[in-house]
Amino acid sequence: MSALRRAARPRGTSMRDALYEEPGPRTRRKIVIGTVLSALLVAAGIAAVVRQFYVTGQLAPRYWSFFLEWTTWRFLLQGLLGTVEVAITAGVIALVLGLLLMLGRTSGVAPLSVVCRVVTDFFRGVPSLLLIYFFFFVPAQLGLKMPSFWMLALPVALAASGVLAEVFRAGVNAVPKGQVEAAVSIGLSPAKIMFKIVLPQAVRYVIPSLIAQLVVVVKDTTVAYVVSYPDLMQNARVLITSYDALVSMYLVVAVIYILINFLINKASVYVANRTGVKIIR
Amino acid sequence: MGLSELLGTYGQNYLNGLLATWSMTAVSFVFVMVLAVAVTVMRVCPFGPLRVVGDLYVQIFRNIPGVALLILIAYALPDLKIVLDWRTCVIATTILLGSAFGSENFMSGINTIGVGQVEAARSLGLSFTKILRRIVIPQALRTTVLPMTNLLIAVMLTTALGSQVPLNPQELTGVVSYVNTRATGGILAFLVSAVGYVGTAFVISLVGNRIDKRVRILR
Amino acid sequence: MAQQAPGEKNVPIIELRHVDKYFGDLHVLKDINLKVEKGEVLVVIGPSGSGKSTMCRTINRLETIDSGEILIEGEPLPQEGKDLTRMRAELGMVFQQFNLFAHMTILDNVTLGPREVLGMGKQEAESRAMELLKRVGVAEQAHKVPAQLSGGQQQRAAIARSLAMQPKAMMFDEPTSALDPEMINEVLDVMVELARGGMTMVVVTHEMNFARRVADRVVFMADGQIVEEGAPDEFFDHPATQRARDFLDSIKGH
Repeated sequence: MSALRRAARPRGTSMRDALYEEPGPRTRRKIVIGTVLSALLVAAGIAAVVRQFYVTGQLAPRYWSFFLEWTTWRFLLQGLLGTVEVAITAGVIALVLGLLLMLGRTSGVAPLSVVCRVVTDFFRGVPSLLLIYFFFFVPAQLGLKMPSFWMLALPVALAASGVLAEVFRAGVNAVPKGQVEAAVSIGLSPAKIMFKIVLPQAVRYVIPSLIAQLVVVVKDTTVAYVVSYPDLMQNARVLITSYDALVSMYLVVAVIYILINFLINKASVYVANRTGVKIIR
Repeated sequence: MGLSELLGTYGQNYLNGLLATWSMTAVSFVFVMVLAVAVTVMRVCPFGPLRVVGDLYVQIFRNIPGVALLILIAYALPDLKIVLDWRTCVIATTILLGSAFGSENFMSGINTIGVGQVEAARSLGLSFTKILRRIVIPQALRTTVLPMTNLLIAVMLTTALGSQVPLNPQELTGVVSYVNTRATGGILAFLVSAVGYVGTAFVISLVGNRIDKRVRILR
Repeated sequence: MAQQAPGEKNVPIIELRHVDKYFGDLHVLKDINLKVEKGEVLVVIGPSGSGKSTMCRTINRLETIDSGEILIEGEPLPQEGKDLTRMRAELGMVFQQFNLFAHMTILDNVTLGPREVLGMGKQEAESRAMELLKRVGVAEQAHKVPAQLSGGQQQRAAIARSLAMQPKAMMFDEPTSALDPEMINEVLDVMVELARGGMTMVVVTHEMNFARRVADRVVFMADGQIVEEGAPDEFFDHPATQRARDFLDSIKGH
């Protein structure tokens, strides 16, 4: 539609554009001046950063040349694979746990519901790092030998399960009341109503939010070095010691993480837009 | 180790840890709000380059893992001749991460207002600054109370990154790892810190909910 | 305020001259020429997408135009700055979606303009606002927020908000289109009373009975053009163009 193609204004565009009206000639001149000045400011900022890198010698080829070698990337990719494995494992566990916590909380059985609520709030209220230290220290103190993979996957999963329980609950609440009333009126039992009517719809509502939560899981796995699990960050640290290139390596790794999470968020928004549901955080 | 023995030996460490967590959270949150406002202003200003920088800022800091950012600030910046003390590193990390989410909250607060009210204000003859002051900002602030409450809790949890650098005094998570490297603290050692976090989060959301109830805008 | 120079008594309050507007490739207003005299009630009708709302919104520059001229009391509509806000303060606008300020009470909605734009004191602004709210029949709701009111009440409050600025003319952009049927009349009644009181009005609407009863002149728009205009009885009983006849037939069925 040509009416929709019009770039700037008509009704229903984003609020940040709607704050401004179509500029008159004087305003337009001010905007041009402001744009030029701010472009200069941004350029100066970038120049200052590059200069700082230059004067501290961080632009020297020896800090960057090893990124041209396949072995560097192969090792980083191995780490990334470790990140993906542990993130997906933690994500799946969190999904199951979160669902169980939500079902327990909304079960209507008073003690179960209270316990699930406390557990949910507990995992939402403590830092994932604390949970990771817990799995690092406590099983060992109890004489259990736990692989580093699980020392990382379990705490990350537990931290996420609290949030996911709330996401699921929001999804259940988003299912129109009429659905439940209709199910009751045809004589379905509460359990059947939950599993046959409410849950299937609730899951559809929360899929974008579940995808978005994967970002949190990926972020939480970055402390893998605490338990010496070889993820992307840990492998980067190994490369740093062998190449003595701290700044460049950490920057590249940070960019990789940012890109991964950016793409996950984009996927979440894409699914949300396609299915017309809101992302719950 | 029983609770009384644990607290007898390390009670002071836990107390200092709680205070450190609280003070880093408070300092961080103040700057989070200031920076979130600044970034949001950049993102809604009419100057393209500033908008791009603001959007980029948010994308970077809402997607970077906290540890990765802390490591950059604490260990990479010194190689660029920028040396901050450990506590400042942790607080700076928390501020950068938190402000990105804070700006997102403000943006969605602005988005809930709707074009119609701005047009109505325009029709009354209100100037741009008056529209901002009387219509946009009050509504954006009032709708973001709950998200900002959650952000405050998230900021507190982020200060646990302090356990990754040699802080003195340590914050709550650092204290636990300190205790456990010295003694068999067991589950209890963790529970004490966890109670500190969960209790604080509980109080924060209680206050936040109360404020929200008072200022919430019916729609 | 733009004072009327002596000897210029018959300058129309609103005048559009050869106004054109595009949304991208879409030509939404095509060479619109229109005059609204003081005290006149002009009703604009036409199928949806005919550009009638857009035209209404160009009059206080909620929409810009690509060519042509808009004159308010003979003065060109300013493009920005204080001149524009001053001109807008003199023209009332009522929206389809009411657009009351959600965070303010009804009373504060009505006093905002007089206090912020006209610099009126709180007491005076409030007593005048209460009078207006009484006049439109929502005085009892003065201390509630918009969401607590019905659509009809909100729209009447929105009219009071506009009236509080003592406008020289008022534009109504489909003021009853978002209302439940039983609330339409309470809003139309307020508008009829305004018209009887001599207010200059431009009303974009689908309410044909209102048009017939209240309009001094009816303008029929289609495809961005003014196809036909005339006295209401003349227009409704003997439309001159096929487009107008088709349109009137199509809405008769409803």
